[in-house]
Amino acid sequence: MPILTLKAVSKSFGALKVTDDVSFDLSDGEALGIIGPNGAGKSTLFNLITGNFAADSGQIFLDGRDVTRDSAMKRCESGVGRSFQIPQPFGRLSVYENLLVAARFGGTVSAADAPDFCMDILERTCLAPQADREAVGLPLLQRKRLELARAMATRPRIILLDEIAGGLTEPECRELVATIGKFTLPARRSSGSSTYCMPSTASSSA
Amino acid sequence: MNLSSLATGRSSVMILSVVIVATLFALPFFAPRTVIQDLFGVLTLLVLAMNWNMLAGFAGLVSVGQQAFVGIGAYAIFAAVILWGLDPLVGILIGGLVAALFAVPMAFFTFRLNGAYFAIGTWVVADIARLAAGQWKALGGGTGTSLPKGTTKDMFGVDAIKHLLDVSTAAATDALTYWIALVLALVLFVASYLFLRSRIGLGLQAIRDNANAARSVGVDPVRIKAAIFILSGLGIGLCGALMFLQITRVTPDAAFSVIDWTAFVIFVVVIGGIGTLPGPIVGVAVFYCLQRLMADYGTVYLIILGLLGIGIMLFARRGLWGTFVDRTGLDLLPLRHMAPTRSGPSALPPLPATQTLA
Ligand SMILES: Nc1ncnc2c1ncn2[C@@H]1O[C@H](COP(=O)(O)OP(=O)(O)OP(=O)(O)O)[C@@H](O)[C@H]1O
Ligand SMILES: [Mg+2]
Repeated sequence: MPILTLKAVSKSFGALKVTDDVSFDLSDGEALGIIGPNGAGKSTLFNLITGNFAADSGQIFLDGRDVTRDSAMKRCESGVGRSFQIPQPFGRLSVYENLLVAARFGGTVSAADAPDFCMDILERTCLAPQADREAVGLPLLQRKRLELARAMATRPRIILLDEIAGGLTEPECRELVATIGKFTLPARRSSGSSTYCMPSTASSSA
Repeated sequence: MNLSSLATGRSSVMILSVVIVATLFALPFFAPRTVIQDLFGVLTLLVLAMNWNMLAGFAGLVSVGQQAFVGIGAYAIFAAVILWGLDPLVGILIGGLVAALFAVPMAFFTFRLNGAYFAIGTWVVADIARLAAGQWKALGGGTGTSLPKGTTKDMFGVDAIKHLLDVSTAAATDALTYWIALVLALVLFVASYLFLRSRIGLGLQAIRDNANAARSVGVDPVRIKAAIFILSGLGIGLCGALMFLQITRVTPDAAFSVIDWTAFVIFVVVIGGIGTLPGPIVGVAVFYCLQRLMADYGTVYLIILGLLGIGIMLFARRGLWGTFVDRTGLDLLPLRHMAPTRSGPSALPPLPATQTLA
């Protein structure tokens, strides 16, 4: 059974039909890239899947369950993790606390396990040295890393990465892709449950 | 500031707070009655300020309708005593509970509004409550009513305090209401700290920083904000009942006064440091000192308070306490969850979820 299914999903902003009758299946272990020029509706599609926007028509299924009417909170608990194209950190919380919120709420990690769980992700995303820093002052690359780390802390089964490399320089971009790879390789060997990345690429980011 | 001096700083502040709290509890044994009455006013203002700070400073709910809960608490205790013949102490509890109950429909309506509209909405609801109280004929309608003579004398505990302190009944009543206010303020302070350090409190701070992102990591803003709104209804309702028990007279205009129970409170919180836990204490202390220093010049202290408030809004937006913390880095009540220090690679298994990347 596909893990994520979209059936004829549509969304308009006023007269502008941004998402027009989109259908696809995503199965276990699959990765899907969404490509389109600026303003094509990639972020909108992501927001529909995560529940940040409500679809005008069509249906969205997770593991065969209809989640079209579920809130963003519920979908997060059901295993949809996301990063934002423009990083949206919790500015006055520390980097570590940004992950702690995600782990304790969406990830339903217990209070006892949360500290190690979060530090593990911070180390993999090379953010451990900044753990106690306020998120607001981080440079772009690290804010992008934080987006990835925070999404991982919700223990997603599907992860949607919205132009995670957008705005970065060529070497920074390579560094980030290497970081994402770090999540992929050891984990793939480890367990049956799976998560899928959907890096969205605009014409602007290579 | 190095760690050891921070630790000594913390422990000396801790000792100092214990001494201050113990002194406050012991005060009715030796202080004159006017001091107790003054401090009662300070403590109840502090309770209102801490509640408003939780709402506006931490939950982003800038309400100007909190006087609704003071008024409802006040009317509930008067009804409990006059109409149902209950002990005033039970009446205080009823005041808190009724106010908390009222917060449920009030949240239901006002939470549909955002920002300035929310503020106006809360004010409108509070004013409707004021007008409704004016229709309550059994409690004097628009002109209000007084507690019957002897109510406070028969109140639970007054007799014991009278003998313990060897004072008049009136002074014993003042001591009792003062102690209740002190306990209420302390419990509220400790509860606020524990709440903000809890999982829900962390979620609340995430919402404050970015509600959209908070939703995407599983935090439900409406649920958490509603919980705070209702809890603050409880706290303010208890406080309102207590204040009007001490005043012994209630009118709709006094009980639902936006100036007394909300506007002053906002100034106090803004001056002390909105969104900081000790801010309301600092604000109330400044308010009290100004009032004392300028007692001879009528309400000049209010003008000074206003100017101070405007100055702080313009130049030190985090208030006196927030600015102090920013300048010195000395946060005595940090809410921060520090990252654990770890040595070597973790023994944890890899992350539970796997992922692939195109
Ligand atoms: N909340 C909104 N209200 C109105 N219009 C919107 C909203 N969000 C997006 N749009 C419009 O929908 C269209 C698609 O936007 P979207 O952000 O999904 O594009 P995108 O493919 O992610 O573009 P980019 O590559 O620039 O990120 C754009 O024309 C945009 O202006
Ligand atoms: Mg986009």
